[in-house]
Amino acid sequence: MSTADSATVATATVDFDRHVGIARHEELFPAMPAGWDRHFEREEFVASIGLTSNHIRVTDTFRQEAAESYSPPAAPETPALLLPYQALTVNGWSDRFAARAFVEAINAHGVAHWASGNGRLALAVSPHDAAWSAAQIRRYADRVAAVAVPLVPEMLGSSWWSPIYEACVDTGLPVLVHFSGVEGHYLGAPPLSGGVHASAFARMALMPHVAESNIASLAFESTFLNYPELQFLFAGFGFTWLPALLWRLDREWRTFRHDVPWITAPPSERVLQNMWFTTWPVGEAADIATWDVPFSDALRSRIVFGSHTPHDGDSVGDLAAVLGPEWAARVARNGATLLGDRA
Amino acid sequence: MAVAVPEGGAVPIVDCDVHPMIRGLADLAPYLSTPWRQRFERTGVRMFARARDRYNHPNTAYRLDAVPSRSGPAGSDPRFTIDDHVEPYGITAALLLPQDPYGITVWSDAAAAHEFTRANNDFLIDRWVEFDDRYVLAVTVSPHDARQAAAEIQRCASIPGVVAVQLLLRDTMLGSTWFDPVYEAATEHGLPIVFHQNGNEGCYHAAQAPAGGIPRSYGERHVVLTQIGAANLADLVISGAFERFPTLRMVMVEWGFSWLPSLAARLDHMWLRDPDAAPLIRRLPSEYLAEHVTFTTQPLDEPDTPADLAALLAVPQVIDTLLFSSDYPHYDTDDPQFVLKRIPAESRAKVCYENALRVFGAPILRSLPAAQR
Repeated sequence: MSTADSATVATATVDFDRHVGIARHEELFPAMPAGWDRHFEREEFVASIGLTSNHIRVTDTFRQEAAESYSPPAAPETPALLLPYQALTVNGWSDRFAARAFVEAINAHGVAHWASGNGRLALAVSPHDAAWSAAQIRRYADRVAAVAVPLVPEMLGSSWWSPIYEACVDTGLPVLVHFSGVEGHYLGAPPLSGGVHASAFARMALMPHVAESNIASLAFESTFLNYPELQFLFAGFGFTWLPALLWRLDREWRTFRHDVPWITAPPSERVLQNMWFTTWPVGEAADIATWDVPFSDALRSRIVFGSHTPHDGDSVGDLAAVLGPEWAARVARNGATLLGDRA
Repeated sequence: MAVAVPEGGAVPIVDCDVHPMIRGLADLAPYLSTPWRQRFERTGVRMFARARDRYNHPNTAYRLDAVPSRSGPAGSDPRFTIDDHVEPYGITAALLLPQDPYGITVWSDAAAAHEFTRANNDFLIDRWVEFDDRYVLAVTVSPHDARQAAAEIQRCASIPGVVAVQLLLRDTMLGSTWFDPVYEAATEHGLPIVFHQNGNEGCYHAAQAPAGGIPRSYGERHVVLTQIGAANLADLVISGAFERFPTLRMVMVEWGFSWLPSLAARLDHMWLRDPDAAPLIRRLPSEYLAEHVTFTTQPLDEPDTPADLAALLAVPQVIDTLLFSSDYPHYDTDDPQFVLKRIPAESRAKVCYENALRVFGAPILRSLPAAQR
């Protein structure tokens, strides 16, 4: 790829997985709903910012590092979807009301401090209260670009999520799905495949299965019958596993279609029409010959760039270096399509 | 490794997933002590693991045309299985993976689980393995008590026709040191560990489950069931099982294989980025997988185009580890012609028998004349 080509890709490539965060929990206190700052102003919670911020959790650590503040530059050169990743960790919280207050504070803080110009904020919602979350979406819809849903064991195809999906359709916002890091770790958060995993490394290695299961749930439930325009963006799960999943989805549907009579077309079609996937970690896709051929043109059109910055993030340069110019250009075009009228 | 195929002769076919059943508890009576027989007769025995009130099969789990004409469930008559499956398809070796013991994975009584499994092994050795030398057996061991399981392996390992160990699974992952006595006994006798879906997956607290949450339907669960195989493979590598047992071989049955390249690449990528995060790994995870693990073909994924399947099979770590399997007599049995015509001609012998010969050794082809093995 020539330098000029690289520059073209770099300036055009939208980043759909850029993380923003606070360095101290106290930063959120001014944005807390009435009285909740006093609730959170306790030694152990304030000191747990390292846990809240330990997003990748590849390594078992025995101390809590102080968090860095991940604020975007005032005017990012290229469009980026900003994910307040710390809000996702409420999928491991036991106090559902406190979780709501925490998410509300992050949203208020984010709209005030993080959203700007090219930096489009993803609004976090609570996975414990769908009606409240729907109200948050409608309240902030004109100031955000997506709705970030922390995952819980209630699968995404469940009608439990309907108020949130309805609000997303009404406001034209896509649903952003990203792990928080506590999946398979905290009781009450979604399990990972198999049994109990011995290490953080194992949990991270198996994280794409959480996306697979929720895609299967969405594809086999009535979600897209009720909300045919609803769009999902799965970020941070990789993408090379998609063809194998789509084959299994369609095979099981062909075998048992009388068991799910409401699904009248191959489920893979819903993936190709209603779902998007980010590239991180692009390094795992380095051996292109092992995964590229089964990517149909339709599936290729659903892959967008997600840097996952600053958590072991990929750059646009990494994307081009690993996938080559053709894929990099395709990913850039896909991003422009997904950004669409949210530009 | 290859066999001497006579000119114009058929390539041997090893079917690595055939399920023999008992007709009922009475079949096991001669192999049980009186107290255990009386107890099982009194309490009954549960011989299936899947929660059928939760994930009931939309049709039947077995082929109706595989039900023996005389009596008993599909897979319960060794003569019928020969006539219905082994001979029509020219199968040289049928690896028997007993299905009735899958039920013991949901039993709470470890001693009872062991007794039932032991009696089932003896029955199959007597009535199937000795019936026809095309039958070879994976002796089944209970996961409740690893030392008892190891003792059962020691007891059966030298019996002609025993070529593998079928390890059943509850909630403990395969990489756990809990299973070390099993792996020690298996490797001592050069027997690979066969890991097949039990049916308990996603149904119980004491079972493993797919990621994310609870699938709603049988089909949705079936889409994601492969994750459990993948998770246990990752666990074996990350937990250092292949470092502890350098000759351990795993045969993954009915877990699919199209997910393998992406999982292997992810493990490699993560380990290269941060080797300290997985300190028990000494080399690329994909190298352990290529060296220690094989996969059966059924259920064969059905890619959109022949080119897609060809691309998948062109990945060296896939074609070199693939073993043909039919899953007879289940509803989704793959017949060899269906599967093998989709395998590139130059790789067909690998999938038919060469890879099996590498993992199970010459005893897998005991039905062939000694000069041909």
